[in-house]
Amino acid sequence: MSETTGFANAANAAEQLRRLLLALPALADDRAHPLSEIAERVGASEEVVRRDLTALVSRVSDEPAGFTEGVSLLLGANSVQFQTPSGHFRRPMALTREELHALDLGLAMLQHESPPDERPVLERARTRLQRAIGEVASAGNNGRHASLANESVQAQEIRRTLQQCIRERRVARITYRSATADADDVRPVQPLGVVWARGSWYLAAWCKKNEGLRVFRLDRIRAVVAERTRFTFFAEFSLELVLRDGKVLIGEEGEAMTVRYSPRIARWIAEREGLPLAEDGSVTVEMEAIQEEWAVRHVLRYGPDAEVLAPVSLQEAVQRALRDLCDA
Amino acid sequence: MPAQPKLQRWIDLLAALLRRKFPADFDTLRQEVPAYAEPGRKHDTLMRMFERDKDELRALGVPIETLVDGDGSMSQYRLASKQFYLPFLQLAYDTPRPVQRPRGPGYQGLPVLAFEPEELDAIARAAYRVAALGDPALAHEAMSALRKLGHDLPVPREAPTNELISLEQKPDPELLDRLGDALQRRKRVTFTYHSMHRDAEGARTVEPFGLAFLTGHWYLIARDAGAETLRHFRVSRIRDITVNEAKAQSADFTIPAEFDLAEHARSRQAWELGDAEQVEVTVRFRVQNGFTMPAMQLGDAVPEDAALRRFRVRRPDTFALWVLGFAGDVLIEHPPAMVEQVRTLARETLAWVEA
Repeated sequence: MSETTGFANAANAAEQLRRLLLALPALADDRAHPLSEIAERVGASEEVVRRDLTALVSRVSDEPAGFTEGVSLLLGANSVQFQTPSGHFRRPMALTREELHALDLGLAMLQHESPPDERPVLERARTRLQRAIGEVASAGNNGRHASLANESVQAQEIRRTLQQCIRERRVARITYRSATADADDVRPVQPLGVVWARGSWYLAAWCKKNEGLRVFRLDRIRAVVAERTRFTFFAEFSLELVLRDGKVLIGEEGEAMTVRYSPRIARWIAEREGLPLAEDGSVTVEMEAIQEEWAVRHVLRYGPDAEVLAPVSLQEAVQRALRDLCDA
Repeated sequence: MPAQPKLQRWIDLLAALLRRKFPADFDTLRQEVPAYAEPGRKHDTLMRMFERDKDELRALGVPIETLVDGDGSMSQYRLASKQFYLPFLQLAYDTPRPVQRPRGPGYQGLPVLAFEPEELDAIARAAYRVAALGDPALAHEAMSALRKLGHDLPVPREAPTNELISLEQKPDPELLDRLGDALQRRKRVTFTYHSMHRDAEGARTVEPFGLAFLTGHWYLIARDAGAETLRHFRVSRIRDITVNEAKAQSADFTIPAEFDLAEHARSRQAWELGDAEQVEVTVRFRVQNGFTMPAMQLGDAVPEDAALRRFRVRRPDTFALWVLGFAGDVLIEHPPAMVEQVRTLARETLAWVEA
């Protein structure tokens, strides 16, 4: 083959090499393979696989040389066969330090989130991976750390049980304390998935009590029991359904409320909500007041820097709460 | 004649190295790498090309060793198959299964590594978790690792659909890439930062110590050049970054061996931050509802009363706001000054809203 494909830049060549070192072991049996299969293995399109293999064997000289000496590449419409007499590259390359670091970061996150009895498995997985790295150098770390939230061991165990119910399509009986209730409520739910958003974990579930999709904050679930009863998963369900603009939608729709945040704190709110500041430096946000109790608390945590513009009933509720607090 | 593409030189060099059990010098290797034997080009030029290729392959994680002979006059190069190739992987069974070793050089000595199914499950979860953090370079590495493991092992090809990590802001991939690069090479970076407290933009030159994903955002943990204190910079507030390229091959600074990124990045409550004197505050949780329950996990328990928690506070104003936000479900019991601070805050807020 004489056609050359120019890949002058090292980054492109590096990506090509990475893909080829995954594709060639998959082709090591000297048999024809569907291109789609190889493309899936390397995580690229069929076209990219075709281009990489062509670039590998297309030499500027008509004489094959180097690794390609004796190589044959048969590219069919949908299939590929690669044969090399040298026998090189029939195993993938060992994990690199960067790959190990990435997995290790994820394992460290899971370790942080898991109940103590699950941590040894994660530690063993980390150790095992270090043996799959080719370099002699120690794994160390790549200067990255990640964690989602600090949970109590009880919360970690509850999440594990719920995730087990989700995997096994098992009804879970949860003991839940809603925001305003001072007593627990026990209800069976069909757990569908867990979502982490804005610093908290949530359970998305079909609530049998309300006959509707509900989202429960995990740190308000006080206990969970996996029941024997199994349920059929809703094929049309996706966890994206419980999110709007990165926020989790909880329960029934509430009344709209409008809050103005003073210029002193507005830029933080504006950044979080993705809103522009007003000319005076304040920001006004319309949001859903899921419950009046929630709305009052939300406004109070900003002290004099948050002001309810509407509805009037919420303004009055905030004033009542403040009067009580003046004497508390 | 056009230069041979880099990819072909790399593959030829890898094959030439892997074929040998013993180290070889450049003149030996060039016989199997056509680009290094190109007629009409000077030996020094070709040698430099080889050096560059070797460095780039090493940067990709290829463990090419350089060995210098006794008097230091000649370098030889080696790539051990055992270090280059992935070990044979299998799931741990009661009876180990024989491994099908391919024909070719270097496969006979590769070790066999057995994973317990739950370990493999954890690794796949870890890879997809990392991929969800919004850093494309990290996601790329995690997925690449998973694909390698997937050559031998039944790793899931898709992210679990029953867990979703929702990010408020997707980080700028190019920015994270450049910060990651500077961190790895220990190079100073200069950027424009929007300080929210001062509501002002300014140029900063810092030494990156780490990148941390905390509470849904990426932070750069870095030291102002020449200063002692480490600061957190939210990556989404950084723009116009440049990495110091002077003396590109050498580090601009060192990170002390005792620096513990995880400990440094440990999340703290807003009232715990700063250098002010620490005050111990006792708080009573009057009710246990969905609002107060998560808060009751914070602070320290008071043995004699389960409804009390003790907090260490450096920023009383922030703590008073936090308490106010419970609308009376949480009250400060001690010290009296903090009790009064919450009352004053309530009075001022009431006066403001009534006005």
